[in-house]
Amino acid sequence: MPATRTLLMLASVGVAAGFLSALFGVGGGVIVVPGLMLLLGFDARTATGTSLAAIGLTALAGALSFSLFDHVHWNSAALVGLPALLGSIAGVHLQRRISSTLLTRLFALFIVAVAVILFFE
Amino acid sequence: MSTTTVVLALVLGFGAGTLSGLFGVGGGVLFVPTLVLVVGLSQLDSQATSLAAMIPVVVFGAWQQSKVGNVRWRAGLAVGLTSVIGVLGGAALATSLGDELLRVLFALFLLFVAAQLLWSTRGG
Repeated sequence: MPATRTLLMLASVGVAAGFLSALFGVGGGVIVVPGLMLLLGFDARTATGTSLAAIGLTALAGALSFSLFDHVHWNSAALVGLPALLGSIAGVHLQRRISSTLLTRLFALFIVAVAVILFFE
Repeated sequence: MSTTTVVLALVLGFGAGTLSGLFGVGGGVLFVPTLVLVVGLSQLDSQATSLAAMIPVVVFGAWQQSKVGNVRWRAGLAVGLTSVIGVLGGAALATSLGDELLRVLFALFLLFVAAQLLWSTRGG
């Protein structure tokens, strides 16, 4: 694949992910991972790993942009972010032990429930 | 912030991290509801705070992944740097929408994430 074409594809994934990330306060992996796989032929593991590296910059840019307008509550960010760091280590270890379709489906249902609660909040 | 709120936020933060490590879904999907429903921040502030909260998780995750050779740094840098353009647009739109509308859109986004998770288990 020519270099320019590759760069354009990476950039389109980046711009779309950044937009979604700042609009919803999420990392944007939901765009970057499939984007790298479908447009650039990355395998799932490399797409996920590379996505994390990209999201570091995305989240930083987003947090700094919103903090200019005092929308970031840094104490609350630490309150959920630091235990999440420990949790993610546990999660990755658990993933090596269990890989259950049922668990993923239950998690999807849980997300649907959260969406419904937020909808009526 | 009451002690109950702090404890609940710590527990849910840990849970959000565990689920993100387990399912590969970013922490934001769970940080935002936690910040809205437990800490009581507005939708916009919850989303902005979620972005800050995920930085340590994401940086550590990228470091772990790079140790096993799963990170293509040049591609990651290209995506990350160009994402800043999208971030500016998304931030401008998020701040211009009302909190109610933003919450409804976020809830719809969660349904999309759930659908993507279910899709990933097809045939399993």
